[in-house]
Amino acid sequence: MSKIPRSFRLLEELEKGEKGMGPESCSYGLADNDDITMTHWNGTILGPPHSNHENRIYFVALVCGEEYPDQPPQIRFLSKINLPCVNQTTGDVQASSFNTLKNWKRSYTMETLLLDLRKEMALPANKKLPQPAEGTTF
Amino acid sequence: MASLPKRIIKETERLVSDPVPGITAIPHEENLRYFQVTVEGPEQSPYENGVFNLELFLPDDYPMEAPKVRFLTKIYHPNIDRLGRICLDVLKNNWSPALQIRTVLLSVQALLASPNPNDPLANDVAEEWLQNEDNAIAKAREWTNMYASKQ
Amino acid sequence: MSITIHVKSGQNKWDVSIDSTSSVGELKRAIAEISDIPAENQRLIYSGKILKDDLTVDSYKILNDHSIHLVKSGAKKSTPAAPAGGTTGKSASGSEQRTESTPTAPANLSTGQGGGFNPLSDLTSARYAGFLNLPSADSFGPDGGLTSAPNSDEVLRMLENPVMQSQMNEMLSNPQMIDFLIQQSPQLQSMGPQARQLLQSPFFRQMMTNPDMIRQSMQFSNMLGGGDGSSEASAFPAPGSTEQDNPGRSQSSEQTGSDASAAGTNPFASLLGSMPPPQQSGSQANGGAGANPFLSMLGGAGGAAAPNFDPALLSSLFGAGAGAGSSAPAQQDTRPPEERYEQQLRQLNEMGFFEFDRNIAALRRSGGSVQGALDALLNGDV
Repeated sequence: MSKIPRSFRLLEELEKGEKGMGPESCSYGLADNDDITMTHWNGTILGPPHSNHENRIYFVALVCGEEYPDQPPQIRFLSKINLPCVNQTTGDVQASSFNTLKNWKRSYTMETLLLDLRKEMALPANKKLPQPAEGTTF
Repeated sequence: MASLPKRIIKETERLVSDPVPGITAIPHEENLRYFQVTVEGPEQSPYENGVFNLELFLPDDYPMEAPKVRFLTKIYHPNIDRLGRICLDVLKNNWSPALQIRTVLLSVQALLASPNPNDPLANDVAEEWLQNEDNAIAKAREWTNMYASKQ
Repeated sequence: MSITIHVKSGQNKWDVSIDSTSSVGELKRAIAEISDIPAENQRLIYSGKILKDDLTVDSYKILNDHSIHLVKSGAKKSTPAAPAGGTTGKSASGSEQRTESTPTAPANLSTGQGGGFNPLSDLTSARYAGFLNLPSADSFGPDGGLTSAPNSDEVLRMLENPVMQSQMNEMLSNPQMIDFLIQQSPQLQSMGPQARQLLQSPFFRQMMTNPDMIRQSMQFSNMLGGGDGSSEASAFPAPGSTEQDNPGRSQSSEQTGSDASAAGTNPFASLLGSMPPPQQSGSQANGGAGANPFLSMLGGAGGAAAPNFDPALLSSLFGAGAGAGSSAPAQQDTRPPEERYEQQLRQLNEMGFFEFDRNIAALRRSGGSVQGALDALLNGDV
C-alpha cells in the first residue's frame, strides 16, 4: 500500500463527511471552508442510546497537524461531558487515557476517533456517569 | 514501500528528461507517488504570470484510477474550489488509463485558459463569473498577483 | 440555485430540493412536510456543525447532492398532555421510537440499569478464580450442604481459612463488585450511600472474614435495619420474571432459575452464589447452587453460628447477583459512584484535583470522605 499524503487523505475524509457516507452517529467537517491546509475541523457525536448521553449532540474540535495521519489529531470537547478520558477543565481528550489516541494507527480517521469516543460513552463504566446540563461548554 | 510500477517510473523519468513547457512535476523523495507540481498561468488568461503550486498523488490503482490533483495556491476560478479541488472531467469520469501525469497537468493548464462557469465547483465564483465576467476576471487577476506571483 | 439535499435520520432518508439561498428554518419546514417531523423537533447536522435556523443553506456550503443528518430533539418539548399526532403516531421505525420514547419512559431505563457492571459477564476468569479452590462438597454432606447445614464449628473453621478470608477481602475491596452488590440488592439500594460505606468499611470486611464477628453479627444486622421477612421474597424473583434488554445480563438471568429454586429450600444457598468466576456459571445454571460447596458455606455460617443474623439480608447481599435485584425496579437506586460522589468530586475539583479517575479511586478508598480522599491523593496512594 502506498502512503496517501495528508491532504488527499483529508480530502477523502471531508468528502465522506459532506456526502454523508459515514455513519449517522457522528459528523465532521472543516471548521473553516477556506482553510486550504485543512487543519481545523468540527465534529459532532450523537450520544449513544441507553446511556446518559442519549439524544445529546456533543461538539468537538479537531486539529489535524502537519504530521496527520501519521500522528493523531488533537481533539477537544466543546460541549461539557463527564468522561474519564476528557480533561474536565479544558475538554481535551487525553491521549494517555484514550486508547485510540494512545495507539494511533495511520489507517485511523477522524471518524474512527469520533466513533470510538462514542463507544467510550457507551461503556458500562461510563454510560451512567452524571452529565453536565446539555448545551454547556468547556 | 512496495516497488514502484514500471509505468510510474517511466512517466517520472520522462517528466524530468522531457518536461512540458510551463509545468514541473517532481516526486517527493520519501513517497515517489506524490509529486510537487507547478503550473504557469497560460498567456492571455487572468492567470498569466502566475505560478501555481499543486500536489499530485498516484493512488494504488493508478493507472486504472485517475491521479489525485489539488491546487495548493489560492486561485479564483469557477472550477476550482477554496480547498484547491479541481472539477475536471479527465480527473473523474473521463479518466482513461491511456492518459498520463503530463496529459492531466496539461488539462489543468488548459482549464486555467478556459474556465467553465456552467460546470462549477466553486459556487459563488461561478455565479460571479456568469453575472459579471469582467469583474470576475479582474478578481482572478488580483488573486493571481496576490497569491501566485513569481518570486 | 436549487439543490437537492439528502436528509438522513436513522433508517429514513429523504431528498429535499430547495434553493440554496433559503434559510435553515425554511429547509426544516420543507423537511417537516415530507417527514412529518415538526421543524421545531429537528436538529440538522452537517460537517460537524449544527445548523442554525436563521442562517442560509449556502452559508454552510451545503452543495447539491450533499447529505445532512437529522436528529430529533427530545420529546420533552414536543409532547405535552396531548401528544401531537405527527411525532408519536408516525414513528414506526425502531430507531425512531427509541429516540422518542426513552426520555419519557423511565421503565425502559431501569431495566438496563443493573447492567452497568456485571461480574458474571465482565470478569474474565482470572480474577475470581480463587473461589473455585474451596473445600469440596463432601464437607457439607452428600447434598453439598444444601439441606443439612454444617455444624457451626466447621463453618467457623472455614471462615478462618486464610484463603477464604483473602477472597472475601478481595471481593469487598473491588469497588465494582460493591457497586454490583448494591445495585442488585433493593435493601442496600434503599440505604443510599451508606450501603457503600458499610460494605467497604473495615468493620464489615472484618465481619465477613472473622468468625468472631459473625457471632456478633446480630448487632450488625440491627444496624443495617434489615430483618424484614418480605425482603427475602423480593430478592429471589420467579424465574424468567426479569426480561432485560441488556445483553450483558442475559447470562445472569439464565441463572435466576437455578438460584431461585435453590433459594427456595435454603435461603442461604445463594448467599455467595453469584460470586464464582464465569467459567462456573455454566455448572451453576445446570446443577443449581447446591453443586457449589462455597454457596452454602457462608449460608451455614449465617444460620448456625449467628442465628440472629438476618438471612434474607445476607442473601440479598450476595445472592442477588443472579438478576434478583432487577425484580424490584421501583425502589432501585442505581446511581453510579460518580453520582453518589458528585458533591465530593466537585469539592476535589475545587481544590485543584482534576484527574477524574484518581479522584474516584480516592473517594472509593475513603468511602466517600473528602478528607480521606485528599490524603490518598496527596500520598499518591491512588
